Amino acid sequence: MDEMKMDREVQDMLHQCAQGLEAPDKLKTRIDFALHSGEAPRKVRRPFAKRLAAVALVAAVAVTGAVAMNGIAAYTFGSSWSNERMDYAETQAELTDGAKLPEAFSNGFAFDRGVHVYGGEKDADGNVLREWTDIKAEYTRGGVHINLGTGAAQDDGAAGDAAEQYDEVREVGGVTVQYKENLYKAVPADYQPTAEEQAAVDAGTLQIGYGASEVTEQDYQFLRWQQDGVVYTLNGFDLGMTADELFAMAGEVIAS
Amino acid sequence: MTDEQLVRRMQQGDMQAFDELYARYKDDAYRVACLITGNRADGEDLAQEAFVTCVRSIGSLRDGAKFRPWLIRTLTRAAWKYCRKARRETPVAEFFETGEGESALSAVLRTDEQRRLYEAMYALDEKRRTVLVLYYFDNRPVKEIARTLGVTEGTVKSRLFSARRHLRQALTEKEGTPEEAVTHG
Repeated sequence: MDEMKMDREVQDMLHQCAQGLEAPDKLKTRIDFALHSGEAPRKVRRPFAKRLAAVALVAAVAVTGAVAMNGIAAYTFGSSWSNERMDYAETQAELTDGAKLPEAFSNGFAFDRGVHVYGGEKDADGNVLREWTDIKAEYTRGGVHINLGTGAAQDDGAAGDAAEQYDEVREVGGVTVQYKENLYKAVPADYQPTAEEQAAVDAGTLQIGYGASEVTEQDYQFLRWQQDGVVYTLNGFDLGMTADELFAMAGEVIAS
Repeated sequence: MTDEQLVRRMQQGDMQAFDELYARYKDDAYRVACLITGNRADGEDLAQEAFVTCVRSIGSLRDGAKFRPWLIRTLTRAAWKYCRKARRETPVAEFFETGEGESALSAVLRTDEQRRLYEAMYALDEKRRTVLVLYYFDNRPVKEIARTLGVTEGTVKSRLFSARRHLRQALTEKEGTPEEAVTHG
């Protein structure tokens, strides 16, 4: 079959399939209901490489801002970090189905508060394509803060999760846990990275988050895993902890 | 009234303007959604999600004349969830064996050739299937598909090439079930 004939066959096939398809009346009813009931947008995950920056940005500067990414999309993030303080029970009530949130870890980190984290994906024109809400819990130990994020997984966990993006990947309790440590630099929106910084960004050893009032640098450690349809992230700045300690904390959540 | 005018009215809080836009594009969105997901139920869910997202985010749409491409873009960006759900729930082989597929979209297909093409299309992963639907059904040029999907034009061409190759293989095989189902890339 020549190319043109096959093109016509495919076109005909698709148009025939679509011929009898008309949006059912109930579709509009469903849309109106969703809009009027204030039903929350579906929670979706973005590829990890982008999520990593998102977590860092939210945790570091707690602003609503935008991080320009490759391709068409940009991602916006916001949280009520500065004025929201859910207690343990309230935070648990907000968790997505199946998510687990310990009240304390055996190494002394104890639950301090929970907050909602909102995200959105935009196209190149700045139009919103998707929105999601995650829950982030903050734990403290001797003035050090670490965050455990949870949210509904919307994919199989494979997107953007190539092993080379991480410093280390371990199996913990039958679950794949990925670990990364790098330098995080929070900068003003108009900051121009040096060539050296850009090379570090490209190499994955530096993250730059735009939207801060001044330039600050911190060590950033991040773990991610997916269990029973829930994506978890454990991360913090200047934790002064080893990868082993962080994997052990992930193990406690996984086993709980 | 143009899309641009309706979008502007929506941005000022006039939901009747949305009703008009909905009436204008509901069938387009529903058809694309059904063709990508392969069944009416998921197509309806996907179309609903796309419209709801667009209404909630209408304030961010800078050029109201681009409402339709924005709607389709929103739809295709969310499509993978429904495609993967469908794949988990109904393996392709079973889909055709049980005749469930017949009642869905393919019952109207007249020739054996078209039925094999249909079957082969749903053996493709959703990325390639989406490109096929946008290219052959929605008549979008490669450049616009690339922009819609957030990939390069080269990636669109590559997906189109491998999808065509897969369909051609399905057509040249004696048996109805293609040997190769493209699932990566």
